Amino acid sequence: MSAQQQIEARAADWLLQRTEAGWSESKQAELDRWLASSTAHQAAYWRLEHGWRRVGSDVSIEQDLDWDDDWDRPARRQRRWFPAALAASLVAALGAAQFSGLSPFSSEVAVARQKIATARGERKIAALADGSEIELNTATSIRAAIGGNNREVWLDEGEAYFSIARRDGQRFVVHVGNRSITVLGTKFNVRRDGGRLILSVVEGKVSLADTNAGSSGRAVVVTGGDMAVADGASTVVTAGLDDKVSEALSWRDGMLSFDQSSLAEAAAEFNRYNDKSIVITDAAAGDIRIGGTFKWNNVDAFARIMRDAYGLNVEDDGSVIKISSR
Amino acid sequence: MPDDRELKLWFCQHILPLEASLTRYIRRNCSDPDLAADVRQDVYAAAIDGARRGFPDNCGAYLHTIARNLLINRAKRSRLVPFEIVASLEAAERVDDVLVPERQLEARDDLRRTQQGLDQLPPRCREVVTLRKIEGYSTRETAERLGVGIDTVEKQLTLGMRALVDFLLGGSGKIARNEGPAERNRRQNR
Repeated sequence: MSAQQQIEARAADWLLQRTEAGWSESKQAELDRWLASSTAHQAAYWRLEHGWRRVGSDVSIEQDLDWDDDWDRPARRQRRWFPAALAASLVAALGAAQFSGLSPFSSEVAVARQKIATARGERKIAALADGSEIELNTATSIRAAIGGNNREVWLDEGEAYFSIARRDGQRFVVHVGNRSITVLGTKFNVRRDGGRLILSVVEGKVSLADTNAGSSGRAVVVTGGDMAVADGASTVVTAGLDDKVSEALSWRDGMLSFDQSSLAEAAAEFNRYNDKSIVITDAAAGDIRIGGTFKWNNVDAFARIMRDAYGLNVEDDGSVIKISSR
Repeated sequence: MPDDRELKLWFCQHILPLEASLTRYIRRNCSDPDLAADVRQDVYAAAIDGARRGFPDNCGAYLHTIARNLLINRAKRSRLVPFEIVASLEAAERVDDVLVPERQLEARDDLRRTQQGLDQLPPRCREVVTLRKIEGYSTRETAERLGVGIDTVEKQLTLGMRALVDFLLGGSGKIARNEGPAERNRRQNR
């Protein structure tokens, strides 16, 4: 083997190891060192990585959306979809006898339609036909159409956490009012608050587009640890908000997390989850900044803390809690 | 000065699409066409190192210059090289020496080309790649399903990966033989 062939074989070995279960930070560091030690290593590794990513893929948005080192990371948990025509010929190529009893390709043609909703204070995890999961927060309503060549979900109201399974380049679209969120396989949280959309991306990359912006469809890419707020025609993306993102996800643990929120905002949050509502009767109380993590169904404890820690006046008549500064 | 991430993006988006064109150019102008892949990797490394100081405006011309200089140096070092090769390399470039991206190799064709590339692989290699890469089975599952060892899966996967990537980038997609010119000469002389 020539020196170049040896380097390429080593690069291929790295690339495969990286997708195996035993991959660790120390191995990543070793790979980084190997890459940094020679441009020939980089050239061989980048070339193989780029080409290998394209094997079996059928869309080009991977180039825009998933230019990530983790593109190739475990697809293990989910059997991937593969377009039926190719799947059929692959099965033929593999020889049916050897794979009898094994049905490697799911070529679903029918579109599975689902409508899922939660009541106030309810949470629900919906499993979609493609292996993706959607966790619905309180007072949320979604519709899903999965199958054929499309994976689409409409978030009609509320908030949901999406854990989207990769399907060999097949995109997954979430429609939220006049915005659409396009991903290949990522984890993100979407909250719809009237005309406002708050997107928190946990990992990977998503594309957020304004569907009113015409066919040019101005889209922004939001990556893991970033948040985007879209309101009317404007979209603001803020990067590097890992803490804020995990705060936005605390509802999944049944918790509400506040950091320098106003009491009015906190009360509004509690009111999303509980029939017993909190009313702040004066602006001075509403402006008080609070922080901390609370169980969302324990509105009484929250009111008690407001009274004991902040010296606020709390009246509870069983269905409404009134909080005032006097 | 571009960092490694920018270099990688540039390399994948602007240089790799020239691979088929570059490989043809090298094969035409190299005394041993079997070494074309090695020369190509040398060209890539030199191209990346050059781009660390800033990206070139015309990647085709940039890559062509690097390849030509490398081939000339290589030819001059080797006493066995026919004079014509050096002469033609040093002469004004021909129209078909211009490196251009392969239009027909765009990403949307990858699915069809994956199929073609897989068809060319030896059966065992094709099975392993299909299960592990296309289907998403783990290496262990792939080994169990095919009734072979994990070592075999890893070896076939590495070979299949290199061949498929070569094919998707416009190459022949042949499995890389584990031998250099020395072994090959021995074999031919037997």
